[in-house]
Order: sequence, then structure tokens, then C-alpha cells
Amino acid sequence: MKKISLFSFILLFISCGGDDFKQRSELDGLRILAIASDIPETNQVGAISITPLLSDVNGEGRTLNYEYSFCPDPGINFGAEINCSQSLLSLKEEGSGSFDLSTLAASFYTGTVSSITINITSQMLGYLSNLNAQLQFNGADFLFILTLRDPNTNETKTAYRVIKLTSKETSQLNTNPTLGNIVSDNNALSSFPTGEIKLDVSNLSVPESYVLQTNVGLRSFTEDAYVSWYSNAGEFLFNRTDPNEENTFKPSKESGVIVAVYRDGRGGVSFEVLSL
Amino acid sequence: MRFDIILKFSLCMLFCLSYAQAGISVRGQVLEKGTKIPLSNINVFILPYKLKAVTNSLGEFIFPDVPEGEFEFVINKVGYLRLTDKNKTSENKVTLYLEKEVYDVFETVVTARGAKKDVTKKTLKQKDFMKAPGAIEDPVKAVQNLAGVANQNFSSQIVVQGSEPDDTIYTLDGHEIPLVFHFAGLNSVLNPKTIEDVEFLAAGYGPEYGRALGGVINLRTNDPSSTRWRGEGFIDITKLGVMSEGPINEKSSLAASARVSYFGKIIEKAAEEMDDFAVTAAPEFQDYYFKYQHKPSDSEEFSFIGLSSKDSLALILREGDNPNFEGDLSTETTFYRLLPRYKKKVNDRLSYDLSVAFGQDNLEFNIADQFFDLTIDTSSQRAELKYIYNDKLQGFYGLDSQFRKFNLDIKLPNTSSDGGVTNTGGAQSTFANLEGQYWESAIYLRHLYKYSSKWTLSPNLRVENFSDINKSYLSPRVSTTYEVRSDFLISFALGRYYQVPQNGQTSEEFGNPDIEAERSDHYFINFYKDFREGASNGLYFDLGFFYKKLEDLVVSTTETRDDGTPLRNVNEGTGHITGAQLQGNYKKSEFTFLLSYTYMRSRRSDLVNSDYPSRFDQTHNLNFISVYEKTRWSLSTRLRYVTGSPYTPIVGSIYNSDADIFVPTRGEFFSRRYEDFFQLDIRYDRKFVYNTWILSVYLDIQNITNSNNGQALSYNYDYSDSTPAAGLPILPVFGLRGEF
Repeated sequence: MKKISLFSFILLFISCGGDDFKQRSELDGLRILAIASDIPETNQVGAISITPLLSDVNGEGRTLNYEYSFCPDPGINFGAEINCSQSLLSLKEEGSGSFDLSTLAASFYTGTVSSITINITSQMLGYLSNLNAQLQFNGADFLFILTLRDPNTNETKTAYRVIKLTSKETSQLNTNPTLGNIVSDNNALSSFPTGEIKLDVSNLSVPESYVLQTNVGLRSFTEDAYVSWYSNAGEFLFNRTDPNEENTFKPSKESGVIVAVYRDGRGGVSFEVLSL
Repeated sequence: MRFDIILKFSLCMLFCLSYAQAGISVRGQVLEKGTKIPLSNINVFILPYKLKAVTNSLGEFIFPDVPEGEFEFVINKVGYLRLTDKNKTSENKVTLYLEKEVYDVFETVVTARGAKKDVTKKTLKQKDFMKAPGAIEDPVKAVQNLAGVANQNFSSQIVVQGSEPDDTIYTLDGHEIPLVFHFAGLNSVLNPKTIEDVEFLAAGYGPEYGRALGGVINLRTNDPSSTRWRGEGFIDITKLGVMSEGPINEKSSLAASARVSYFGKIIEKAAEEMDDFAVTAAPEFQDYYFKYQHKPSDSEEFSFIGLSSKDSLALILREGDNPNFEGDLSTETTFYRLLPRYKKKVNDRLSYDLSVAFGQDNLEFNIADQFFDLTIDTSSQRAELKYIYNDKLQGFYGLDSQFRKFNLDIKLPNTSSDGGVTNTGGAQSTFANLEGQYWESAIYLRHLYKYSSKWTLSPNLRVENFSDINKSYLSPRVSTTYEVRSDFLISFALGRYYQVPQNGQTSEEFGNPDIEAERSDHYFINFYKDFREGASNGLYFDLGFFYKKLEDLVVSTTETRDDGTPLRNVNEGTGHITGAQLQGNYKKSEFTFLLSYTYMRSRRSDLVNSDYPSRFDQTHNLNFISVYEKTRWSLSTRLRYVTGSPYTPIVGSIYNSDADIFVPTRGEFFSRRYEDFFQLDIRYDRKFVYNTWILSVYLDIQNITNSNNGQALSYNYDYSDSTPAAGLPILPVFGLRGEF
């Protein structure tokens, strides 16, 4: 509160930019593009289905081993490492398996793989009840951490998402946004673009309003939703666009995959994968 | 014989009388060329008649009887060029402009001889910082030439002797101001011509100041001109402005200044060619200043200062290369201060100095739907009473307090900056509306006791209370100076310093209300040696050694309370800083050399890592300035070499699917260093002195070797690739200043 020193913070942003850096939207290796959960926020015991969206355009349909763990947030906002090693066993769930990406061949090895089911237990909800009223309402973060590993090369990728446990009424829980198709001029694409083209996503759900308990009582917010764009065969003008904002795509190949991921900014996600 | 003398005298008198009857009165005034300052006590001669007059306090002179016809004024005055001016007798008043040999002399650091009130203090006078190479006529940037000051690219803060940036406070005539630099650290918030000098206080500083573990930068304003009205206009590549000052009446005077930037328009244009960001509102700053001064008598003075400053910027980070954020970004920072002050010398023993500052600070920061909107109403009070007990003992008794009332509206993602690596946390931001108020009050006493003709002792004490954390602290400080010889002084200072946690670290919503003040113990010894033996040429230097022990530093923790709320931070950090600093000045005729060198080790420990280098552990820091100065021009260079700052390598990243960002995985804290910093600056100053005004032109070329000097890394979106962020490229700064 005492000093005003945000200008260096701003310079942090504007001094970025290695021109040779690979773009965020460019797909040319193994990427975890999203981790969808059928229930991004819950107030009850039960199973939750987690679905990863992967891209491995040069992986030739390899099989990847995976490990996952699910536990209370160890405090990553305050510098804790992103893992569940310090969590109580009663609050933790772990598992492993493998994903066969050859099933994604038709979509340039980009798409969803088999879902993972995790369980919200009574002990986890009990953990919530130990927190103060504000945290109970706003939600306790539980992390779902997924690590992919190529058994041959030992290449690994790790991603995580949050499942919120909350005391809110069911009607107040967050839900995933929805989207239609990747379109150009309101028309679905029937073939891969041959030249620069405007892209958009149809039928995006309207960002939801939600409330948080703050130190000045309940306060209402609106989701800051956005669309992230990815492709293995061209460049986007923007890596992200606001809902109903067009993007410009310049193809570099005759065929490829275009992915749009619609996030609501608080854990809800849906996506569209277009392979042409 | 006697008759002969009387005759000659009579003839001479007769001749002179007849000559005088034929002559006329010649009046005139002698002014300093360019500045129009009246010059008193000047001998004015008229040749070939060998007449002489002396100017009065207004520079006026009169020759009652000058023979008609042509004659020549001649003035010879030390420090001025010889004036010869052919004239014809006339009833008109003559104005003679006497040109100074040198208008400003570059003297670099002023280190007073003899025992000083504060043995750690170094002072940069206006004429020093206005011509310091690489400082672009900025008083605070010039401080970076001093020993003990860390190097920072695009710095907006001064880092002192291995401390953190927040460990330095900036004051205006003793009253804290929220920021000292405008955007990007190229210009400080005051017109340099309104600054008398910059006081730099470091390890072991006295009891007058506190709340800073590192040091204090105090900008002392100068008195408005009480003899004449003067003004100036100036322009350089970043800004333009005007200033004027002068007497209102015999007892009052006024100074006013206004500056606005225009470099934002250039950035706006440049941004059109760049992919990384788009500027929607050009970065700009403006500042305004006035000072009214009233001196009812020689022992009494009242002044009133007003200062306001504004910085604003809006842009779109659109390409998303930055791993953390993208979106619309805008910011605006404003503050103002009103500062009345009253000083009175009651008698030869007692005097006092009272001042109060009040104002408001505003900071608005928006990125995408996140925001930070802070308003602080502030008031600070200073009072000092000085009493001279006798020839040996003086006492200074003071009050230094400030009151803040704040309102903060905030919605920002929780961030962690451990190891100097910033990453955003979860998708969820923290929102809060906070209101509060707090006092930071201190009383202090200082005694200057002259134990003997050679030894001066200063036992000091500061008692502080921080209402924010509801704690009081006792800060004993002692300094002493032993004069081995008149040209060789040894000074020693030690003291305890407290600094209240900052930036919301004590708030319930963002910090831990149970944490206490950070603490530091300073030890400083300095050797001053002057080889000049009273001459202006020669060598003098300060050689100092400092040690600072840091305790109760605020560090982050992942621990939580029983109700699940995070502790966020605790007073578990420690550190120590050891260093030596040399500040040497050598002058020989037109050449001046300044060498400042600091050797330093700055280490920290926290809950997880122990004894690692701090962010500003710059082992070697060398500044070498050379100046060649002629009557109307000077050429100066500055060479800087600084060991690269440590940084924490990023060894991987984990994708946050909710926020579509990558969270960096930190390697060993501050285990690597950036490339060493090397910069050469060259500055050329030229003065054109006309009768009634002076045109000053300068060209300050920074980083003439175009060294990269990036003291940061730019990362790609997932931290798998990085490149050194470019530092300041070769930057020629051209400036014009017209003074009348």
C-alpha cells in the first residue's frame, strides 16, 4: 500500500517479445490444450469425469503413459510446487494409465482421449467444512494434475486444472460454457482454407454472472470468457479472442487442424476441433 | 621647491576644473552577461581618462564628469572575462554585460570537509547533476553515479547497497513522496532546476529518517530567486517545459514550473510497426511545481510548495508471447503534495523548522478484467528544534510522522514472485475492497558533541510507532568522526532500522496481519582523505566499508491457519550485506575525474532456501566519469561496468488449463547471472551566452557501444525458450535550454 511501483510491472509486459519464439497457437509437438471436467465446481460427493484435449501432431499416434493426482491446492499462489506430495492420503486420489493417440489419426493426432474419473469423497467435503465461511462459499481449490510421459523418449508434459469444492447452492455452481462450430462468415468450413480468412466460433454461450463473498459482502462479477486458437498449419493474428470477436488465419499448408477452446476464466471449458 | 609644488597643483586643479566643466555625467549598470544579475562592488574604469567608479548593490555606477567624445569602459574582475567597451559620452544609461569565465563548474560529488551532521550523507548539487553524463539532466538518475547504488535498466527506483528497491524512500524536503520517477525511469517527477541538491543517505544514516532499510533520497528544493525574475524553456527528446522564478516584493519570491512529455507519441508510432503490443493511449507524463517563499526577516522564513505529477498509459498486449498475461492494459498514476514550511531562528542558540505535507496518491491499473485502484490521502509532519548548548554541544529534537488513509479496490490474480520469478496462480483472482488508515510516527533526538578539537560524537535515538502493525520500536543510532588531520577524517556510524511491511503484506485479504516490521542493523566506517592542500586541483576520496544485517524479513509461506486461510507471509527471512565503496575525485585544470566503485555481497535466506544471492547482489559496480571543461563547452564520458545480477533459472513449466497460462518451475534460487553490464555514455555541453539570455545545448549519447546489457530474460509462452531482453540501446538525447 505504501509505494507505487507498478510501472516496472508494466514494463515486464511490454519488454517481452523474442521475434523468433514459437507462437502459442502453433501446434508442432505434444501439447495438453485443455483439461475439461464435466463438473467444474461441486458441492457434493460423487464422481467427476475429466477429459484431456491433447495434440501430438508429429507423434505418429504413439502411446503415452499418464499419471494423475487429485488433492487440495498446496498453496501454489504462494509459491508451493504444483504437486500432491504433501497432501493427506485421505484427501488425495492418484492413478495412472495410458492413452493411445493412434485413434486420433484422422484429426492430426489432436483431440480428446479417454476420460479419467475421480471421486469427490466425504473426507474432501469434510476438509471444506474446516475452512472459514468465506472460503467455503467461494470454494476450496482441489487440483487435478496430469502428467504425460512417452515411455520411449521420456518426454513429459504436465498440466493441471482446478475443481472447486464449495458450499454454494447447486443453482449457483459454475458450469461449462458451450460453443458451436468454427465458422467463417457464419458458414462452417468445408475445406481447409487456401488463403487468409476470418474465423469465428458460432453459438458461444453468454458469459455467466457469479457472486463471490468478499470483505464487503457478496459481490457480483461476470466471467471473463475468451477463445484460444491453435493450428498446426497456419498462423493466427491473435492467440486469443473475446467472444464473438473474429480472428484472422493465414494457412501455411493445404490441410491441418484448427482448434478453438472456449474458457470461462474460472475453470469451465469447451472446445471444437476441426480437421480438414 | 615648495612654491613649485603649489604651482603645479594649482595648474592641475585649474586644468581639471576646466575639463570637468566641459564633461558630462555618464551613468550605467553592470550586469552579468546572460543572467542579467546586477554585479556590485565592481571597479569600472574609463580610459583614456583613468576615471574610476564602483558599482552599488544594484550594479549601478556613475561618472559625474566625463569629457565629451569617445572613450572606453574597462572592467577587470576575477572570475569574469575582461570587458572593454567603446562608447561615446551620452546622457543615456549604459548597460555593461560582464561575461563569466565559467558558468557551471562540474564538481561531481560534494563531500563536506570537517565533521558533518550525518556522516553517511553525500550531496549532489544542481550544477553536478545537470551535467552528469548519462543522467539526461536528471537529479535522481545522477545518483546512480555514486558508490553504493545498484545498476538497473529502465529503473524506476534506486537500489542502495544490496537492499531491495522498496527499501529506499524518496522525500521532498523531508516529506515522503510515492514515486520519484516518471514512466520508465527516464525523468524524475521534479524539474531539476527546482532542486537545490539531492541528498543521498545510505548505511548508518541518522535518526531524522526511518522506515527504510536501505537508504533515503531527499530532494531539497531551492529558494526562488529573490533578486530578479528569470525564466527558461527547455526541450529534449522526451519532454518540454517552462520555468520561471523571481521576487514578488522585497520579502517574497515565487517559482513555478510545468513539464509535459511527448515521447509517447513516438512510442505510439513505433508500436504500429510491432507485433507485441498496440498502444491505444500514448504513455505520457506531466508535472507541475510551484514554491512561494516569504522572508519577513533574516531569522524567519515561510515557504509553500505545491507539486503534482501524472503518468498514464494504455495499450493492448495482443500477441500473447508473454507467458503470463495478454489483453487490454491501462494505468494512470497521479499524486500531489502541498507543503507549507516555517523556519525561525529565535536567537543565537535556538531555532526550529516546522513543515507539513498533505496530498493524495492515486494509482489505477487495469489489465483485461483485473484491476487495482488505490487512493491514499496522506499527511506528513516534520518538526525539528535545534539548540546550541555551548561550543561543544548541539541538540536536535524532532518529529517525523505520517498519516495515511487508503481505499483499495482490487481484483488481481494471486501471484507468487519467489526467486524473482513471477507467475500467476489459479484462474481465480482475489477481489477486495479495503479501507483503512494508519500512522507511522517517530520522534528523534540527535546530539553533536565535540569532545575535543579532533573528535565529534553524535549519539542519536529514534523511537517509532507503526499503527498498521501496532508496534513501537527503539532505534539507537550513533556516529562519530575523528579528525586525524584537517585533510584526513575517519567516520563511523551504526544504527538500527525498521521498515513496516509494504504493499498490502499486512492486510487480512492479501497478507498476514500478524507480521511485524523488518529490521536491519547497519555498520559503516569511512575514511576521507584530501590531498588538495587547499587548492582546487588535486585528489580527494572517500573509502567506506559497510555491513548490514537483515532480520525478520517478510517472506512468503504456503502454510495455512486452522480455518484454512493462508498465512501468505511471515517474518522468517534473514540476510546480510557486506561491501566496500570508493568514491574518488581528481581535478587538474580543465580535467575532472570521478571514480566510484562498490564491491558487495548481498545474501538472503528464507523458509526454503538458505544463503542465496539477493536480486541486487552486484559484486562489482564501477563508474568512471571524466570531464573536460572549457569556458563555454564541456565534454564528459561515463563508463559503467557492473557484474550481472543473479536470477533464478526456469527449468520447466506446468500448464494451467483453467487460465491458459504456463506456470514456471523454478530452479535453484538466483543461481545464475545475467551478462555483465557495460555502458559508455558521452555528453557534450555547449553554452551560448548572449547579453540577456543563455542558450544551453547538450547531446547525451547513452550506451554508445550499443551493448545489449539485458538484465532480464524474455521467455516464450511455455518457458521452453528464452532470449536476453534488450537493455537500453544506443540512445542519443538532444536537449535545448533557453534561460533569460
